[in-house]
Amino acid sequence: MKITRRLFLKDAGIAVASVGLAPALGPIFLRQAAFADEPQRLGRMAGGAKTLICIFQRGAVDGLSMVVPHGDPHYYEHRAVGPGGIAISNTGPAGLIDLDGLFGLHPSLAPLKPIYDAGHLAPIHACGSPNPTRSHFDAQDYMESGAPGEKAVRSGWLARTLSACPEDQARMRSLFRDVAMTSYVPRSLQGDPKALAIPDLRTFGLNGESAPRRRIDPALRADDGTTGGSVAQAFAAMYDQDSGDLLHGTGKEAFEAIRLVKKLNAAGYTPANGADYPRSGFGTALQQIAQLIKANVGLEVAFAEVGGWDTHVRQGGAQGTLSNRLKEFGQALAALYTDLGDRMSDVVILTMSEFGRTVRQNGNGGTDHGHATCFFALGGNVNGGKVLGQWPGLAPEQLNENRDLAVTTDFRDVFGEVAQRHLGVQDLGVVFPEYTTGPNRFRGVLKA
Amino acid sequence: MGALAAALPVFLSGHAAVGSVPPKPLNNDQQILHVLNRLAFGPRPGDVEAVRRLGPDRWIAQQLAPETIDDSAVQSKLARLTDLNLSSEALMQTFQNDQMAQKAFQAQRKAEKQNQAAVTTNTVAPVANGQTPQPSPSNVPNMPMQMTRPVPVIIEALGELDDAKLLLACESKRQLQEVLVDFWSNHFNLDVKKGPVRAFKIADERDVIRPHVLGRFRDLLEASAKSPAMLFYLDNASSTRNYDDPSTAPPRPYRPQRFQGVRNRLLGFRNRFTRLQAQNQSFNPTFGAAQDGSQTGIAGPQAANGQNKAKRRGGLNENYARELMELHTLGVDGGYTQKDVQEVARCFTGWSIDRPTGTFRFYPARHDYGEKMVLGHRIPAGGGIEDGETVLDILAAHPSTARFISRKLCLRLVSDTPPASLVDKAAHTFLATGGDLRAVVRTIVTSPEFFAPTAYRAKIKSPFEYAVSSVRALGGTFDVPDPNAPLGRLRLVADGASSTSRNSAGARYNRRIKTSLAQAVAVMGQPLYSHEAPTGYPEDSREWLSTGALLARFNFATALTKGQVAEVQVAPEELLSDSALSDHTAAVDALSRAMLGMDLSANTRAAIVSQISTPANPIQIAGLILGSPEFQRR
Repeated sequence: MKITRRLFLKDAGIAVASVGLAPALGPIFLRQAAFADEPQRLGRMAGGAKTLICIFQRGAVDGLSMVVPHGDPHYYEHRAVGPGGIAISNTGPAGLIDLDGLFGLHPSLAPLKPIYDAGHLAPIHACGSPNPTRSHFDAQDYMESGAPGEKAVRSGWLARTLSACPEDQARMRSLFRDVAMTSYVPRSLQGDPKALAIPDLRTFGLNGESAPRRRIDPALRADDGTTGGSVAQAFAAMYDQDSGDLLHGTGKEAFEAIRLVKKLNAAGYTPANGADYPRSGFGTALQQIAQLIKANVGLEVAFAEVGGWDTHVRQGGAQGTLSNRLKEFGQALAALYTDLGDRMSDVVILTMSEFGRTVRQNGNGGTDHGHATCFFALGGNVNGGKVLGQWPGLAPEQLNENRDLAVTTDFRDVFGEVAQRHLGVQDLGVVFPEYTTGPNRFRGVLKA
Repeated sequence: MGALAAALPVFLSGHAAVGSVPPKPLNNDQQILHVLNRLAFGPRPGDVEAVRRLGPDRWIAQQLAPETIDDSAVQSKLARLTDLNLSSEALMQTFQNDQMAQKAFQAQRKAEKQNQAAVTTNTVAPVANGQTPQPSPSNVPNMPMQMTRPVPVIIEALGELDDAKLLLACESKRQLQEVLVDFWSNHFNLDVKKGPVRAFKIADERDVIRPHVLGRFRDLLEASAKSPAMLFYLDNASSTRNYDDPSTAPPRPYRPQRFQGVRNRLLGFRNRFTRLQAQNQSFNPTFGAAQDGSQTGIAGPQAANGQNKAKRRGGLNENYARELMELHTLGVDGGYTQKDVQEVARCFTGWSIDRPTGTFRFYPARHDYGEKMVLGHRIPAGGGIEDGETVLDILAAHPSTARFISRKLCLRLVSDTPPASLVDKAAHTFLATGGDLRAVVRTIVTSPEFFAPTAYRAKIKSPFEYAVSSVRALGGTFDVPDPNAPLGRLRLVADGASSTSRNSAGARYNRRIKTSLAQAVAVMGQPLYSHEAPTGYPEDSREWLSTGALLARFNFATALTKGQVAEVQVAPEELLSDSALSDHTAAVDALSRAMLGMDLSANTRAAIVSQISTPANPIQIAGLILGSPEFQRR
């Protein structure tokens, strides 16, 4: 394998390192630092820049429980309401929240209803991959590479999307252009050597450099000259060479990013508009994405993930395991939407999962691996207030392999539409070289 | 797709670009370092000399026969971890007692809240003159003695599980065995965050993984298939036949001529008993209530008053069957279909957990007795526990399994892109020896491909490998914490579906004391025994590269060398003579040879020399060496 020149497109970062001693000036400072090489573009970055937030529900979420097809004549045939049943009743106080007579939101997703009513939320139902695999790991891989069935594709669809963004945008290479709130760079962003993985902004740094994040026995903190700048500089210097070894690239990025993240004061962040994030890793991840967006650091693609959807046993109905997971999920999405406020006009939040679950419940009150599921798109420019896609029906002959919701929307048509209409990618052939999508296949997720 | 791959920015190269000149074969010193970095968790001081004396070949032969290596020193330390000897029954009992304690605590707290609410309403008096009404002493509810949430006792045992793994990796002389235990424990991944797995994993590591890593794959596979931890983790414990489908029912044997009446009576009794068993037994081990706090059990015999028919009890669960083939044996491309998954799941119905003893038990009443077809093999109707065992036979002897296991071992031991020639050889050994894992490993580690220059230092260390090799490089020892010390081994494991990592929960308890080595590994991205998905941690080491993770490594390197990691005693200054300290360059060179067994690259060396304080501080230099690009590789 050869290292491409993209590895070396880090000039912005080098410039950043040299301004590390400047006093903290809040977001303005950050903006200048992240775009130190192109100050003339700062004006543009203050507004109008588009951000895509991708959220992966790992473990295959049951789309039929998120957006319940209660109006389908067969739904309550496949699934039972009541103790041990996993169906959501369409009557009663614990029932689903009807959207249009055919579909209803799971009661735990109630915080999303006002967003739907405002026309800023669109579920895309019966969405998934044409590939029949029921392996979580293959299916996640395919969805994130954007190339179902093609194991040789090593780059992720988001990385290719960024590489295909319009020329003037492509040059605005912020250090924070694509950030995953994860420990490791997700598959979706592989291929962009500048993709940052930041598990938590508050602890992203060298111990001893910043305010200590945990109290350490003072006796252990004898000043032996090994804290602070010199160690950081030594680490930075060790990794500061473009040898083509990815270790060096990774290390260098780390130091470039630390300096900026420190100025963010993530621990002191207060969400706007009374947004109430759940106190969980996922809630924190979304809150920090909001913070990065508001700091105008040039974030174009953010990525977060949330697990716990592989509900083989005792999935529950209006209450129970899945309900609890959805509660956190819905609250977090609604908090992000609320927190970003007007900025949602420049933001699209897209949720996805590798596949859905069987239409019928299994022997343990759970569901096994299925096929199509449901995505959500949120944003000021989203064609919301209705359920998008084509409903394949739940009659036995309409099911995939007589067990799952059939896929009627190829996930790449959704990804492609967001890449083109939101991020401005003209040539979707770069994003999906083996698949042709375009306006005739788009599902109308975004206002054209 | 080739065009696509070429057109895209290629992310990872395993190694710095090398010119077109064919690389020189490894010299003896490099071979020594190579075996210590791959078949051990890196060199300890003195290890290079020891391997040199013996020769790499004889050292390998010795490591392949761990029973011949005297390991009494570490074994005596290990003996202090007494929880690891608890029987399955005791482990399960402990877990269930914990559950009951939690429930009692919750009930108590709820009662108190109600009590308090009642008191508040009763004592609200008209606020006069801006004074807050004070509850009179008689209104104050009796404050209970115990208001803190009980700490699960099983956490103690789980802490010992972590400690044993770290202790053995750091100090055992049977290093290859420990490497392989780590490999197979990860291959048959379990997540101790999931309900009773936290109790069963202790028995699993001891009885399933450890005894079999150099044995036959078929034995290891069956041990895992019957491991209560695995049965619960992948839900097979609750998989049953479809009771509504008569074709799955226990066979009615043909009626012999003689004693027909007696037999019929007995059969009738048996069938009734079977039915009763199916109804009464909790076919779904109810440990799971703890998983997420959800109370939505499966419908019992009572009818669901839903919008349609009452729920069936029990039924097939495909989870184990799928992962057994995808992850444990054939590999995802190993040539099985969705139909095979369902058929294999049917074969394993009834494989579950015995309640009082916490051991494997086959429940005949839950088994599906119909005929099955698995990968083209007909499994005739009427079989019992042997159906599952036949599946294990088929899978363990399958060429796809031989390839999948061989390739994964090569990924761990050789390179992220192992040559096909080596995988072929290892797979051939696998098939020829009936899955003798010792023979397979021997084939791999004595091959020319293993000693190829392209394999040398080509792997990035996993966080666990990084932490352990750091301790070893410094000649550090892992001290088993004193279980009697306050908070000595206290770790809190996040409950069930919570996404909280074990570490962040544990950190609350350990805020006042040093970070433990297990926590440090978790912070670097590899919480032990806690990978949620059944894939386990990646063997392709390129996946361990990321900015955030690298920072965590720097922080660990600094903390470790300063003595801020609990349990670990290190003394970097003892790796240096006083005379070496007088000169920065000499000190850096001497320490890098002591810790890495080799010189640093010119760039790293210059970077360290230019930044270290005067006079040279071995703690500082050692921390920087642990954080260097060189030390990230093995």
